[in-house]
Amino acid sequence: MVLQNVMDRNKRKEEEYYLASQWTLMRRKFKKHKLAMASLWVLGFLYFVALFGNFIAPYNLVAYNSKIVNAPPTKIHMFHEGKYIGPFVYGIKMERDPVSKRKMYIENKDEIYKIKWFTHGSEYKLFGLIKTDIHLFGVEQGGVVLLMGADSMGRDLFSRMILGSQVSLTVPFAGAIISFVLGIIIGGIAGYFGGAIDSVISRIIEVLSALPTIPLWMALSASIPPDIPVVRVYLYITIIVSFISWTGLARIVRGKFISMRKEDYIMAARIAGVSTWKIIIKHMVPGFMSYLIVSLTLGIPGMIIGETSMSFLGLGIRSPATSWGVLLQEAQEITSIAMHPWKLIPLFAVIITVLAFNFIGDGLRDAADPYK
Amino acid sequence: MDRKESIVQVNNLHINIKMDEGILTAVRGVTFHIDRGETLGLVGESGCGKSLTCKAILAINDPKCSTSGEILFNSDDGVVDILRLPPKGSEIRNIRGKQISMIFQEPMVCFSPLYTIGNQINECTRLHITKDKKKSREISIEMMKKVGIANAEKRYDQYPHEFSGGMLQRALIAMALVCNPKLLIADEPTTALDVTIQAQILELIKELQKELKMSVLFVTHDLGTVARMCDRVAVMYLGKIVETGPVEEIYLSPKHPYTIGLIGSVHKIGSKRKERLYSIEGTVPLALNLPAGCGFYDRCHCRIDGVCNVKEPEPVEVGPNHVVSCHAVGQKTGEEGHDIE
Amino acid sequence: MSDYILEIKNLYKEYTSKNITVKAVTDISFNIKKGETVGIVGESGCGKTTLGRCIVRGIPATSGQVLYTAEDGVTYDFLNIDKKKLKELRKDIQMIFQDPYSSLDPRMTVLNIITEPLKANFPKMKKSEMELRAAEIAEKVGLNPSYLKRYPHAFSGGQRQRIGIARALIINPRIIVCDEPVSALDVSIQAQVINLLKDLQRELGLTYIFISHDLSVVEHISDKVGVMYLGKMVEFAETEALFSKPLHPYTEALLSSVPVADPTVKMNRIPLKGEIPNPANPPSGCYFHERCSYCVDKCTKVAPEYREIEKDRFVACHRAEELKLKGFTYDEPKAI
Repeated sequence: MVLQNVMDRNKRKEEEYYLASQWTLMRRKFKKHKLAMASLWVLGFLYFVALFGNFIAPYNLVAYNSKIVNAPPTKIHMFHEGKYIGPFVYGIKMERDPVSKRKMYIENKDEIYKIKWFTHGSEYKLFGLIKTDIHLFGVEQGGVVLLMGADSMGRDLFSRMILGSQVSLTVPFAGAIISFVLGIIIGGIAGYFGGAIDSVISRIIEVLSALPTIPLWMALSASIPPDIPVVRVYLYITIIVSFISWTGLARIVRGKFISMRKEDYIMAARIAGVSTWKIIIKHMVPGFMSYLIVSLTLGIPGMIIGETSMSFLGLGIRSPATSWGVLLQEAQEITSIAMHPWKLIPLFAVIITVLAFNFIGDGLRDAADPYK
Repeated sequence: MDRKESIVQVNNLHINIKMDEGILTAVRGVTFHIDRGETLGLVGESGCGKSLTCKAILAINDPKCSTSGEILFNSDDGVVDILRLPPKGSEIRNIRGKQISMIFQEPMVCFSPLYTIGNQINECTRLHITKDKKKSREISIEMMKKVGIANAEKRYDQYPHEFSGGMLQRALIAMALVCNPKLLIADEPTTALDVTIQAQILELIKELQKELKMSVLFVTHDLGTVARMCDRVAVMYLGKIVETGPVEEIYLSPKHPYTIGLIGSVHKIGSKRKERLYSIEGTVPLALNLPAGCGFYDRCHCRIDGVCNVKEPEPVEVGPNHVVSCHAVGQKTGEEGHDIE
Repeated sequence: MSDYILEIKNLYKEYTSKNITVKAVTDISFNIKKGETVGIVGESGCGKTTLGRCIVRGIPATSGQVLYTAEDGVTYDFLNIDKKKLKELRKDIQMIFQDPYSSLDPRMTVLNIITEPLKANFPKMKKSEMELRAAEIAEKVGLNPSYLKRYPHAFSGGQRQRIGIARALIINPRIIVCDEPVSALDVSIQAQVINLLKDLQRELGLTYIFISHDLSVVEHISDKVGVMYLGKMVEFAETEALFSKPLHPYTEALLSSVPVADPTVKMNRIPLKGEIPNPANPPSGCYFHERCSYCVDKCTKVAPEYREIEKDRFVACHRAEELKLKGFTYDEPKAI
């Protein structure tokens, strides 16, 4: 009886394997890559937070308070003098250190501000559509909750981190889509037609790849007019960033086209009378899709770093919008970092995101083309 | 070692490979011997385990394979069990390339494209014969001449891409035989070559075998080659040897249904055309979770229900040196291989 | 109205790259009757695969004609017809490929692979009709129709070859070019596929061009055989005539080199000197002269003409009439 069950289960597993398309096989293999799976969760979490950013962040982008300039992260307490009263923060008082004359923030135990869930705060549009002013958590009037400290203008870093992530996480994505489209079209044309067209396109790709990136970005971003709306700046930055990797994708598509042209099944389709266009769509595109996705995923970290670098250099996103790169501008001086180490937190966010994409790309690459 | 003249005695060899779906029982109890100076043909189709068996003799199988049984080799230092030798020790390295050599199907992938052919052949010479640069080079060039490579001195310094397929196979043979091994394992050495080149290489192997008094384990699925080269033949199916015997017996009076089917599947060149070739129905099953009984049961046309699917057949002697593992053999009365309809 | 269903006339195929021209196929001509199987044999570099692909227009030929007599009795030059006519006639001449692994798109289900030619040639056919037809063809070639939704990786080499045959058959071709269809298969599976091809030929009245390097298989399946060497056809004759009484020294050497699957038969190999020459730099005169044991002075200077020496027997050798070459004697097999 047990043997029968085992044999049945084996038969079912076999059947599943036989009916599994390329994507199913890839998904199975991908699941075995533990680091990639973990990274998927991490990224999922980050994107979720970004999606609900305005809701989760207690403050918006323009809120500032000159009384808490460069304040350290506020401690959240549960007990006051031994009694449990729920999460709260003390008031913040600014004092000068008698010896070094440096500013110091100490807790004022006289003032207690409770932390409330689902409070009213500044107005925003959830998902850009629904007008609301409810935030996940907030603090009673008069108190400030700075989970990651404040910057040199007294703005809450935690809120700016979350709102900045909306830019830092989506610009690479949008850039990726543009790269994708550009890569397929240009690479496809080069690979399919070959000959002179291929030569010209390949030379263009080579020249573009050889240009040093930072001067290129500087030139491109300098060409963005200074007084256009934030959303358009965002769009232009995306396009600039997509320039980074479309050449690589185009090369891959071109290479795959050239190698697939020689495959027997392509010749079989032609001999059967299948039209050229159908061959491209039904045979070639699915053929290189997995490679393209891998390359894309591995190229996103480059775009993240590109956008972050540009913003860090002041060439990218402009205020009031923010991104992690902009936040890192505060972390330029060593004294600043030494005195206010929380300003480095955006850096870790960038590192984690980049690593996550890299691991996922690794996992995809290992799983890609299950027929090799 | 059973026989005094045996070079190799393989006893009850089992090779299992662990896979996600279960354990692949690739080799399930293989026993055979090779005598001094004889050519044993190991015939079987893909999935029968013949390549794994050969590699086990040289202990070069992937560590994923778990091997058990005995492989007794009559080496320079007496009889050793290759499976018991430490896998990275000096004893096995003293055997590989020197006392037992192997040549493979695709000579192109057996040579590194970064070094000259001479350099690679010489690597073997310097390792096992002499470390002297000049002497070893001479020996290597001699061997290249012996295998029929014209202009050996010039070709010694050429790279693999400058050689044709046939020449590369000759170079591979040179590398394998330069140390005068007792046993040469040839794993499909001519399958990838053209017919006329194949004939040259087969003749070369036969000549060298006679000259060096060497034994040869010839692994192939090509029945024509086996008929030309081998003294005795062992037929493998699904990890077991189903029939062993002298080559004439196997071809003209095969007893195991698989052997009969195999011989009948091939059109003998230069003979009257048959209307249909005999074909064994079905395909070779995967050696994963095999049911009890004979491995050939579901493709056999003379299977006995209740016997063949319950018990593994034991080897039975049906003629001088002719052994068959089949339940139905006693009941058949010597059919001609050619008469299968 | 032609006697023949296919007449290949003076087919050439050259590859040129960076000032090196390789003549893959040089001046090939032969004729095929309806329902016949013509085998094309040769070793590497002889151009047989290139020839096959030129005939089906898988690759463009450099020059030459492929005169095909369609069902309506009209003869067309398959290589030089307009696009519209090509679309109409293409379904009549199909191909089966050598490598069962690269000839099927691994990303398509077997059903889609088999019905693809239907979709391309009969776009108005209903999906259910196509599936029915696919199931019919699958059964005919020995595939279980319930497996059609699977992907190619679920099938063995022999089964994949059957899928390739089903794909070629589904649009009812009249001629099939088989490019080494069994070389990549195990011996017992080869027999299955060869039997299948013969059965289909009988049932559907197919004409085959069977390209192979395996002379035993070619002898078994072909009515006529053509031997190619370095792009040229050196001999063309009925199978038994070619195998028992070859007229070209290369054919003789080739036949004598094939190992016979019978240990009691003594082999008398005609030794061939040297190796197959580089197709980019062929020898002068007769391409085979450097390796031929019967070579005379004329052979080194003048290329021999491919001529009809007897009815339906062609050979390209200066000395064809005088040489007495050895072939197989077709004795009865020995029995113990």
